[in-house]
Amino acid sequence: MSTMKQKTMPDERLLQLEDVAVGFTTREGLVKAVDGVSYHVNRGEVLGIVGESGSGKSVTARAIMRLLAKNAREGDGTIRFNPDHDEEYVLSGQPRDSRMIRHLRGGRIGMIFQEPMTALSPVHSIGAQITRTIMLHRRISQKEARKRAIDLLARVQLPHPDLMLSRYPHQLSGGMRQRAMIALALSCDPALLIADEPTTALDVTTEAQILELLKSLQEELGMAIIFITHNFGVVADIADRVAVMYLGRIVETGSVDDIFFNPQHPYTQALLQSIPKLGQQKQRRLKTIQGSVPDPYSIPTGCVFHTRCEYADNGLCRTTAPPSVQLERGQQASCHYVGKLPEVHK
Amino acid sequence: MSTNSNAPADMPDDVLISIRGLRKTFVIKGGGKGNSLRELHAVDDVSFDIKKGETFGLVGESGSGKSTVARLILRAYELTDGQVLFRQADGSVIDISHMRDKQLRPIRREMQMIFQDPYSSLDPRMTLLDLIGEPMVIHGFSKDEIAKRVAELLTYVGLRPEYAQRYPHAFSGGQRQRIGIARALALSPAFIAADEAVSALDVSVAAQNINLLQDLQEQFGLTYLFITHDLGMVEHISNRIAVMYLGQIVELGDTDDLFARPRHPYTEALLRAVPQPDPRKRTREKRGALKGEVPDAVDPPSGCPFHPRCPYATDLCSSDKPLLRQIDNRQVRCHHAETLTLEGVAG
Repeated sequence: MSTMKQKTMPDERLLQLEDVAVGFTTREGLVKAVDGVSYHVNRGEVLGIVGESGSGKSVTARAIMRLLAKNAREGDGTIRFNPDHDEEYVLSGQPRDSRMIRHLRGGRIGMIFQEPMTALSPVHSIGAQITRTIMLHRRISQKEARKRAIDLLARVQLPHPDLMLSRYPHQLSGGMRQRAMIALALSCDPALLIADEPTTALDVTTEAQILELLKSLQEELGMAIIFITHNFGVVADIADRVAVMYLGRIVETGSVDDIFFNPQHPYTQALLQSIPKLGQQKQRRLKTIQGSVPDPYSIPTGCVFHTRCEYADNGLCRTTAPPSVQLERGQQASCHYVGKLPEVHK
Repeated sequence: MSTNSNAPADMPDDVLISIRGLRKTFVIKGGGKGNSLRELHAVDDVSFDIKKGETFGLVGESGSGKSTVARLILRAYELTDGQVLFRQADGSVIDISHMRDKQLRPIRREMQMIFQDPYSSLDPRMTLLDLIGEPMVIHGFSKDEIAKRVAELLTYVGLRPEYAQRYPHAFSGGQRQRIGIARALALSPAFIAADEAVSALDVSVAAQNINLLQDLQEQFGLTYLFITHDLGMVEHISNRIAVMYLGQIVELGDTDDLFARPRHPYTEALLRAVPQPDPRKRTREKRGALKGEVPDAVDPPSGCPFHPRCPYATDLCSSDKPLLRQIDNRQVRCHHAETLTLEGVAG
């Protein structure tokens, strides 16, 4: 039931989400945090997921890792994962501590977060945490695990990796902690690394270092990355493909070049124009998106973006959810007026 | 070092606030062996003028001392040394650096602050009327005056006057930030320090609030000190910018010129490090030039504090502290400012 011998995904496909939905039961009722999300990640590629707060980008990632909160309710969607060109694992529906998930999480799927202290234990040394993770997933001796831990700490460019083993997280700076967390996530050669805003809390020069590190590790190890961020600059820097999320839905996906130079969804277009770019001709006013993100208890009918969209009409957009329109080079946009919007000037 | 604080020095007519030789030293425990007390020079001889009606940007990474400078100007911290000169509405200049609370009170009306976190900076048990009106209560306005003014302020910041009876939890992050702005405006200040005022907001909402701040500046002739780590935002909003590193200004100049032709290696490194929303700028050589991390401020490097990370450093840099020097229209703290050709961002 959980793994499938016959393959449903093409060979280059590592992960595929189809129609994934996650809601949370709260006192005020059911909150639909993710509603019908489909995306895929190919082997060795970096998928950037961008969206503002409440867009569901982190919840979707947690559904993949099976780390959803207790009050989460999942829909019928499927999440398939094929790390070794072999068995297809169906992650959807798995409890967070099933045998399969314990094998995959921390093994074939690594994770890094915005705040390293959510992943690192404050009461165990860096070395203890990494060697334990390695020994949990591999049958090797403590000595070998220790050796691998030193190797990993060197790979993430921490100074004196052998001394670093006995350090505790609080003894490290923010950037060093982030490196230690990356070493922990990579300890078992993951096929997929899920990075949830890993550079958001860092200073720009440290952020640049961590992005550089992730890019070179990705090249070296050939893993795929799902990189979640709200920062379009970071996405432009690291992603091969991009998915833009809004209110629990993916409104547009495409190659990084198409998303930045040929965005088709009004939300993507407006977001890109609302960021002041370095060295740009100064305009008096920044382009804005009217209003703010609706609260998840009252998600608009029809197209969820229609309340803030400058092109929305009073009929179709308000009543009918837009289809996901297929464009060239795999680009997709969920808008009734794809291709009929005014050209965006850059 | 500091001059007599009773004799405000000459200050050009177009300057609203002039800080001179500002220092703040925190005494902290530990850091070294045992429990010895050590000094942390959070702000180390910082001087600049803020002109009337301009937006002065202060940028730097965490620990650079940029927020401390703002707090010293507003006298939220006692300063260790230096002067803060302020031009009053009648044109006279006073040094507020050593004033007592009672003397300061009328000056405080003129200087306000907007904070980063719109959640923790608003008391959840107070209505908007109480929150925005609080500064006016302190300054002795009547209830009617306050209610009228709060309604007016709410419309200025794009919120409905009816909201006055609501509590902050009913508002989004961007709206809370506007409540903070309304509160800062309550006493019709001349000067507002915005400390990472839009950093916690979503992109589309940050843009709305930046536009609002610029509209209000035009409408009321406000002068801003805009503190941020976001270089794109600071370039957009500021007329002039000072770049801080380890408590000191390393470079100061007109925004466009400074970003197009940086003269300090740290400014160049910062500009390079910013991930730009343009996949064509993704070149490996260009990024990651800066090595290492910001050093411990308790134990700063010898000579130029930036030298261990600077790709252009020479022996001189590790031995001699560079002074902030005027070069053309720029102030730069680098021994090699004249000879380096540094890369900026294209205009």
